[in-house]
Amino acid sequence: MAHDSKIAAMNRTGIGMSPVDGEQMVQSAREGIPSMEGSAAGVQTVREQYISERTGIGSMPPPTTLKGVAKAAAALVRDQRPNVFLDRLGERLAFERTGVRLYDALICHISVLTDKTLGPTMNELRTIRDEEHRHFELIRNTIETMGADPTVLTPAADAVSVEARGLLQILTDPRSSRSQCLHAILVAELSDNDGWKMLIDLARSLGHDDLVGRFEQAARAEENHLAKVRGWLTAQVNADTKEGRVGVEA
Amino acid sequence: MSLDLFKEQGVPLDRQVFTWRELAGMPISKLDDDAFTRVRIILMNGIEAEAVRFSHAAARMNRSLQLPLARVRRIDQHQQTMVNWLLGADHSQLETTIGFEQVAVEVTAAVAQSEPDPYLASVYRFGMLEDFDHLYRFAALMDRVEGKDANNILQSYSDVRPGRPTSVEHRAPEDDLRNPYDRRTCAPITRLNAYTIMAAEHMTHDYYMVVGPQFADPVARQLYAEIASIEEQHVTQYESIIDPTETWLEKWVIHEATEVYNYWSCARQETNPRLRALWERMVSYELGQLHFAMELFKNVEHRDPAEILPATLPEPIAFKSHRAFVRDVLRNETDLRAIGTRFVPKEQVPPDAASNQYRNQLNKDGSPSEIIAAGWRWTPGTELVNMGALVGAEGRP
Ligand SMILES: [Fe+2]
Ligand SMILES: [Fe+2]
Ligand SMILES: [Fe+2]
Ligand SMILES: [Fe+2]
Ligand SMILES: [Fe+2]
Ligand SMILES: [Fe+2]
Repeated sequence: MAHDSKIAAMNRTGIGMSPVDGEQMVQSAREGIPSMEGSAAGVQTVREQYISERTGIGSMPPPTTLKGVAKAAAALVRDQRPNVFLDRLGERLAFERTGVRLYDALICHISVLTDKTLGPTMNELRTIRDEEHRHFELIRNTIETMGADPTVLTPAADAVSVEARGLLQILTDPRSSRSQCLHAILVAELSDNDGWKMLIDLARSLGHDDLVGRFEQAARAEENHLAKVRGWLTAQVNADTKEGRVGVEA
Repeated sequence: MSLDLFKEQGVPLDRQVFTWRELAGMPISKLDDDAFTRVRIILMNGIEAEAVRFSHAAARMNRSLQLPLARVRRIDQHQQTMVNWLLGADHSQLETTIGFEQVAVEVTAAVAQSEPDPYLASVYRFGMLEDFDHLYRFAALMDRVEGKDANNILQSYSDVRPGRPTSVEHRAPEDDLRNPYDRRTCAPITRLNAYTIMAAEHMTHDYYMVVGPQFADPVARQLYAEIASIEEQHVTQYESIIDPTETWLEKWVIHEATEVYNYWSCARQETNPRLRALWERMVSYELGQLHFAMELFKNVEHRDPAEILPATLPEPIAFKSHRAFVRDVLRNETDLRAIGTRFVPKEQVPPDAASNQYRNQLNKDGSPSEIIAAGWRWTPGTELVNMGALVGAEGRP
């Protein structure tokens, strides 16, 4: 399949590419008189109106299992904190599950263009991918043990799914370069790392001492992912710099 | 070299085939391809969408045409897919929106100049000034909500400044209808122009209706609601200039000729060789479809297609910046308003006119198009460039 970039690789987005037209644009924009005076502050005002009327993107479900109902009913009389924890568990579950798919996508990019000197190797990527999968399993089982439904899309899970959309777009786009893909996975791992730390703090503050140890093990794996991804990205950017390469590798 | 619509037979229907791999081909580069390549993609997606839309309407009214329509419509469906899928996933909805308005400005400007009927030319100019303003409002949205410069999409071909303000474009339905051309006496280009712009506007409307709710920002959601409403008015305006006494088959033949004309215009001016080949292939497909429809026209209506089609295609649509023309129109016609089918200076509109009441109601809780662009002027690199001094300019040598 022909690559347009090879035919006429010339970025046309900047105003400098059109000296004559660009000058006309600037002059014309200066002559134009806004139909209303003011500033971007009006946008803020409308936002604030809507924010003051908001009801949120959604809620947590009531417990569904018998065991869960009994436990939760008793607990909820005391406080709502278990729901906060379940919301965050739902967030991690969603992110780890999408994380598996992010690595699936990254693996395709690397397998088409393996670079032995730069890494990552396919084995390294598969190992991380499977660890994300295991983390997903860990959270899923944790939620089930607590008597809650791991198939629920919690509000926090929904929010991180929206955040991750851009990462998916980059990693699944066949046109993305190695460094672009590695940068996207870096963002995922940064978020992943903080996500686990927050979960550990929550587990500890809620007295789930049994979970803290397991979560800390997962967090250590995530630290390792982050360090590795940083290393690969740095190596890739250094190599790109050496070869004066922007965008897709030959 | 023009194209002889009667001599050129094109590719017969049964050889107009695709694979999924072809339909989902490699997209263009948002960064490297010329803005007019994107303009052509957006336009042709609209032309094909109209082919599908018309074909369904015709099928619902003509039992005997259902099979031939279905055969051609399936091809249109796949043509539209192949064309629309050329837009890469790095185009955000708002960036594609800027592309749609660039189509509405530059293609309508081209058509307004090629249109020989003075009334219809004034209709195109009237609509163009409104889309010109949409471009400005969406560019402001892009700057103020997303922190991005619309000129990365426009590539300096189209001015970004207010036109006829969007907030006054809202009209009562009776002020959106225009007088149609007369099918017996109009020039061939008149039909092609009207079918082209109607298709482009209809697609614009449908696109905004799909992407509007995908925005999180309340002002963005309001602005898409507002401008989608005007695109609905534009569809109303442009479909009303088409002679409603054309028969179904006559309209079918003209749709096919419009597709030939548009693809041929694209092929003649395309700078990306891969796309030029694609446009050329589509010209030959559309010629095959045109001849298929002409045969039906001859056999069913016993009429000669030469009665409605030119022997050779008129000058191609000029895909280029029409800056000087647009500025002229801006200078002279911004203050025109519609009363019924006529355009008059705004001073002549009575205060109690139906459109005034209609628009006051809609704008009562605030005007999104005014709010988003309050005090906004386009600046290369976004308005934050102008405000650098306020936060302390960093990095100056
Ligand atoms: Fe993870
Ligand atoms: Fe990870
Ligand atoms: Fe078609
Ligand atoms: Fe528009
Ligand atoms: Fe429009
Ligand atoms: Fe067609």
